[in-house]
Amino acid sequence: MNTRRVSLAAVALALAVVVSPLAEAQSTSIDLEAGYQWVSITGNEDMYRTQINQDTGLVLRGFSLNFVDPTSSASIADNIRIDAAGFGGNPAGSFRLWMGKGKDYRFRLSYNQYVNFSALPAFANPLLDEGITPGQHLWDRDRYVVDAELQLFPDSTVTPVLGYRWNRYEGPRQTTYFVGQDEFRLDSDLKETEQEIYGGVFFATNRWSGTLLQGWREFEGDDHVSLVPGAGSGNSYQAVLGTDVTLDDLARSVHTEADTPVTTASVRGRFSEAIRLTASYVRANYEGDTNASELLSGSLVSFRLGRFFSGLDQSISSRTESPSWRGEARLEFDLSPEVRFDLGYEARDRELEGWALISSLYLDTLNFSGADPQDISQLIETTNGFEREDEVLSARLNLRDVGPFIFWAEGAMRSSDLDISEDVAQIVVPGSQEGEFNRDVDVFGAGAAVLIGGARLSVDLLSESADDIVVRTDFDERMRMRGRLDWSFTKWLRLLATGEMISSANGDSGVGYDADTDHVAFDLELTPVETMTLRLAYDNYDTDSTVPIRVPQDFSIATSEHHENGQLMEAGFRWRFEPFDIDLGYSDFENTGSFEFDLVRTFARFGIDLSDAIGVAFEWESNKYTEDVLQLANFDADRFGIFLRWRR
Amino acid sequence: MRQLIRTLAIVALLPLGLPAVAAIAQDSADPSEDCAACHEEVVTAFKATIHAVAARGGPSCVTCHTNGYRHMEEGGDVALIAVPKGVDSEQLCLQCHQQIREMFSVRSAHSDTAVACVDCHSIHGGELGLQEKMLAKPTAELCATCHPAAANSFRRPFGHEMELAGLDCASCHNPHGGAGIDSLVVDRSGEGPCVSCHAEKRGPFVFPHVSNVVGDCMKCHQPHGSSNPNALTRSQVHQLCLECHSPIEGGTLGSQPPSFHDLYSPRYRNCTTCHVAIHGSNTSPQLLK
Repeated sequence: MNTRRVSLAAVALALAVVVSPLAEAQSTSIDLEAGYQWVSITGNEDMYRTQINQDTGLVLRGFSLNFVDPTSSASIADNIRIDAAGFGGNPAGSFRLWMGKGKDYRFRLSYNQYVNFSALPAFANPLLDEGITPGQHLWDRDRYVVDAELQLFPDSTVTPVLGYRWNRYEGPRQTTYFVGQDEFRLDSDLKETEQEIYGGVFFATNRWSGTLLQGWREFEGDDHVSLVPGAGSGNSYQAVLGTDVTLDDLARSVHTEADTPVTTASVRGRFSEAIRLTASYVRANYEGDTNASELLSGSLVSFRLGRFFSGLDQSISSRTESPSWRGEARLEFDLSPEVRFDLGYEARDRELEGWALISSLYLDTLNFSGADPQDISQLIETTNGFEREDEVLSARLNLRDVGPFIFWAEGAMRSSDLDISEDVAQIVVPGSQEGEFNRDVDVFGAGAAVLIGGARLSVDLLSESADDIVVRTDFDERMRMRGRLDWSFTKWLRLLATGEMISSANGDSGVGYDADTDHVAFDLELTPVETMTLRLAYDNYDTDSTVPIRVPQDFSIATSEHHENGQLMEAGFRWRFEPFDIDLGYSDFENTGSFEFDLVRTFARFGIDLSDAIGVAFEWESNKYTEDVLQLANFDADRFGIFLRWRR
Repeated sequence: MRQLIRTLAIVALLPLGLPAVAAIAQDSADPSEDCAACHEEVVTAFKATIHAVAARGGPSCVTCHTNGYRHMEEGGDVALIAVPKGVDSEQLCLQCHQQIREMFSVRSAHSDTAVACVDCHSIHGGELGLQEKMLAKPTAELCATCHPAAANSFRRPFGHEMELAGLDCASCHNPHGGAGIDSLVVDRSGEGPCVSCHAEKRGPFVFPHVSNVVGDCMKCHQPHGSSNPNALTRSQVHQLCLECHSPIEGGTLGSQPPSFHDLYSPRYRNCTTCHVAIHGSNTSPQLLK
């Protein structure tokens, strides 16, 4: 079992014990559920971990502490809220704390951790045909996020605020590198941290309120890469120009640092009872530097140089500057209690200037005749950049309480101007890799809803029309129609139905992009008695898309087709008859499209309250995944758990 | 790891100061006492909410139930008590909450379609564990009551796992915001919710790819859940790439002819086997590292 999970579960449980004295206070309530679970997997454990990743061990299923003191003025806090869940056998854990005291302060702190695991059998796997799995891109990395904010004198005219956010992503990964006419597996050890501190004020008067915040974001990343032991033969066993391409050694270090000051301002308020304004402005100015070094040796080929070489000593310095801003304003008019009208304008601008100096020393090179030995130094200086400007002008009319009806209509004009200038070093083959691109999209939407008795029926339509495309999968016409019914026949029967059709196309010659999605979902909930719920759900979506592509091996034209036909059937049953609690669930998701699979989940939980404060629960969960084509991806996993619950 | 331990230690030590809180007097004047004579359960639940703190020394039940005193004087006549519903409740809530910074205005997509505050928030306190936002149900369950199709999309095998803690709908969507893409949470630098967690993909990079140039993460990924590995919009990676990078007619960005790659060979079916830095690179113009 993963030790980091055990330690975190222990910390979380210790936390529960530390705060338990608060239970003595009458206004404090605590709910703790923790236990142990066993996971048993047959089949492809990597695929199970990629999709679900539950683990055997202790699990903090949930901890909540709620303290409210509506009367005291002497304590350090008059409200405290702590929630924690998931530490231990879960791939994600979260801790949240809110506390505050009247008009003195508010403080919130959250901590989240996630295990990111991926080892797919077919993904990035050039050796799949030889039965070698998983692919060559694997990672088992962890992410930790801390977020804290302190507000002083909340809800006053001026509220100072100070915040901090910390985000770390670290751990091992296996990746690949194309060099010398072959791909080689590499081990990577990454540690990247993003931190942000910000401060400023919230202000509020009778009519106007807003924020003014200044933040400083810092990013620092280190990646150390080396050749996987035994992977020096590469993926290809074929000789290149009579030479076996091999790699004896590789060491690469990449260090990146970036600073981004961020200014945020917003204001909202009323010119009068009928006219409101909401406006915001954000400006960020990213500046980053990367320094990398790479040293490798082996028997390698470069067609660009037209030579064999036995080593490469490379250093790279690069710098990115990217200022961006975004501003928006919206005027809201209450023309009457039933009629509202909005007018909005938004503008965004982002620029990028990238510069890199790549210094490469190819060692012991020979021409393809095996002659002319020499070291060759290559210096590439590349500059790269773009500027993107977006503008959106929008209007929306909303009519409410027109009898049982609600109507709305909206229109928008979106304009994008993109100017891309890329360096020749980035271009593999000459083509449309840079230039100026302009795209205007007109948007129209309308909808209506009717509320009669226990039923609510709504329909809406969204139509978008563009004058040009930037990339080949952009639409020039897109239409979405959607209907939704929420019908509570009685207190014990509720039906939800959703239907959606989306068509997206580009009929231009040379593109011929066409994509359609049909989606229907039904959800029936029966509550024959207050303590019993039966839920049945059905969901079906069909997605078909086609676009002609140029086939790279012979440059002929073929059609890229993608189909998804997903069907979900789900049933759930919950019955609480004290002191027992039964929760059963079943779902079957099957896709019969381009990538066929079936995922069946079954869940059962049986709980008993041994007293008002203590309960015990037993859980069983089964996940069975089968692929039609690649059966070695299949898994069948069971999880059994026993959990104790304590509440006060 | 040491930093993590330090962080957790701070988290763990914070509550050590809390026992002082336990010495709180319980006997101050309580404006809800009269109501509790008949509605003890409701008043008890209400006292465990943040509203009870906000109401200290000021209004109480009658802030929202405006005819409460008359209702009492008339012996509890239910016809005389104001029970805010629908649009009325929205206006009532916003009397206090319109200046809260997260709630930009009443003009949210939910509000426009007559979804009232009380449709999601349980003013008298929901189940223990949910009261920090006074939600009637856990966030994901609550959203699913009206958006079952979106909830079902999380049942697909590849994507964000909602039920294993750490994430809920409000992690990415602002329920008080607009519709569709306008509902996405925007961070302090004006960027979407993906890079709040996936900070290493934020860039900007010297050699960028799609993100922030011609689209966003959703150009290639289905964030809720996908039928395709790595939550991609296509099951075959080369399909995803070649649909843009195909020169059939010029004039579109990225439609340069691909290099000679024989798709019959499995080594070329996943473009990212070599172009590993597909989200952008600071060191390789061809996104090879």
